[in-house]
Amino acid sequence: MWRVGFQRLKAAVHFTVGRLCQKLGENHRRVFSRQAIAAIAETTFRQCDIFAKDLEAFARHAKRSTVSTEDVKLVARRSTALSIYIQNKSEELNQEQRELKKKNTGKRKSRDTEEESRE
Amino acid sequence: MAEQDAEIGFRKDTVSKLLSGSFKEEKTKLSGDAALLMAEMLKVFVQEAAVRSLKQAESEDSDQVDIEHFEKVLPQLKAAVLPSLLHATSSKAHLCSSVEQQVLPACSMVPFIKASWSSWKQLE
Repeated sequence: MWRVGFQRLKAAVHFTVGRLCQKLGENHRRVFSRQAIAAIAETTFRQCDIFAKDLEAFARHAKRSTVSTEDVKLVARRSTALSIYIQNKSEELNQEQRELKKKNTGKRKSRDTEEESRE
Repeated sequence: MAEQDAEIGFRKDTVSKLLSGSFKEEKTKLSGDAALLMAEMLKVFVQEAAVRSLKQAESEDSDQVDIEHFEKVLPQLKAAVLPSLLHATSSKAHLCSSVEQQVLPACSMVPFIKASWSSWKQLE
């Protein structure tokens, strides 16, 4: 199913995992070996396959063909702390989008008044 | 967004392609917000794996975090953090997960999540 993009996807995951490990290592004055990073990346990559199938199942159960944030929250449910974290992130996302909409409407209005004052 | 994203994380499109590639049905799609949330979740997963491996390395007085350290913490990570509800690897995993729920793992995710939550807030 991944076809051509497979290797590129794995590389992208590996890259981000590497950077996350490097940063963490710096904070703790330790280095992650290349093998360790590769192993974490591989595990993450495989875990995604499991996540995807769960997400799809949850969406299908809700009679949807598009996976939504509600499905993500269900997947995160196993760990209470993670569940709360994901819930908060979801709300932050909604808040951001609402504010962005307001901002864009505001910009348009101020532009109109600017033009008016120039005339 | 005017500010440069100093935070490391998974890209939305990477996550989208990654997950979409595993869907069984052609019609199944992933919403943009779901992709963003999953990117966050994957980041937490990686960081948890890394922190546990690091703690293991520290407990063994090792300067470097090696694959052996990760391999040692992997079973706990899978059981306590993010086991799949629909794809249990084995009955043993089920047992482990129920035990993990009662006995707090050595590295609890809570302080870590709180830390990353506050750093998220700082971005605002």
